[in-house]
Amino acid sequence: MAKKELRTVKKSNQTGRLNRAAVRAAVIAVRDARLAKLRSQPEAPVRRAGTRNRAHAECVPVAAL
Amino acid sequence: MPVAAYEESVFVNCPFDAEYQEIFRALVFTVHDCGLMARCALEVDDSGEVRITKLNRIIRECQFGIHDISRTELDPHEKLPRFNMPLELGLFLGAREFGTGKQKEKLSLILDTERYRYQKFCSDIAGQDIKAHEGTVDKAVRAVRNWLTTMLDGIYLLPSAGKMAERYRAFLAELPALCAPLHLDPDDLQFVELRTLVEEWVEENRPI
Repeated sequence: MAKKELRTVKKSNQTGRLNRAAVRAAVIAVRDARLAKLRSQPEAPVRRAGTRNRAHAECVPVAAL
Repeated sequence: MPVAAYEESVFVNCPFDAEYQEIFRALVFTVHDCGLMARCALEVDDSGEVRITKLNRIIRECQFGIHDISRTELDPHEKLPRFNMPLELGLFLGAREFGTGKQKEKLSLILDTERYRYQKFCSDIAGQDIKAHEGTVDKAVRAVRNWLTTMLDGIYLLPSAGKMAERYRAFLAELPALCAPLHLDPDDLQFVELRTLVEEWVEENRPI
């Protein structure tokens, strides 16, 4: 690395300048937190479809009805 | 050096005031969600470069232009209208008309609050593709997304306008959390900061 480049890197570290990798890391952290929250939620409640007359009716997620 | 190729650059010509901020951010997001790069006069703040020279340079580097001419109200302090958007639209249309080479391939989308309102204040643009956003984010996103998907000739299939507006809202909801570790103020982002955040968010949150 040339002398001039080294000086630039040192300066950027000292001033707390953030690069693209830091931005991407922040985006990934927020995205992963959102996905983890979604995964930790309890599954959608289910009810038996047509249970009045059918003993072996399928379980269907309420959201799908 | 341009930040993106001519064929991937979209000049966003619109108001920059606080009242318009939500739609401005939605336009920038939609451009990036369509796989292109938003450019605007705010990206360079060089006192050494005359403003019109800067605008000309950015316009020259963009094949696409989104022009929102909806801000026709008088400035509350000066009691005069803002002419910057129509002027920049004129520069863009002029580049296509009088330019050479790829400048002839410039494509424009003109937005207003109502579809035919322009006839009362800028009737010379009759015949251009003018869409109404009615001051709403959803309609602004739809107008830009539908225009770009047609202009890109279906090379890429884009998410629907509804999905794109939903993704924009998800981005907005996460913006404070994105800004916190970067020590940025989500209410006081410079255009280049917003664009970087949008670029990275879109890249890491692909719809499929």
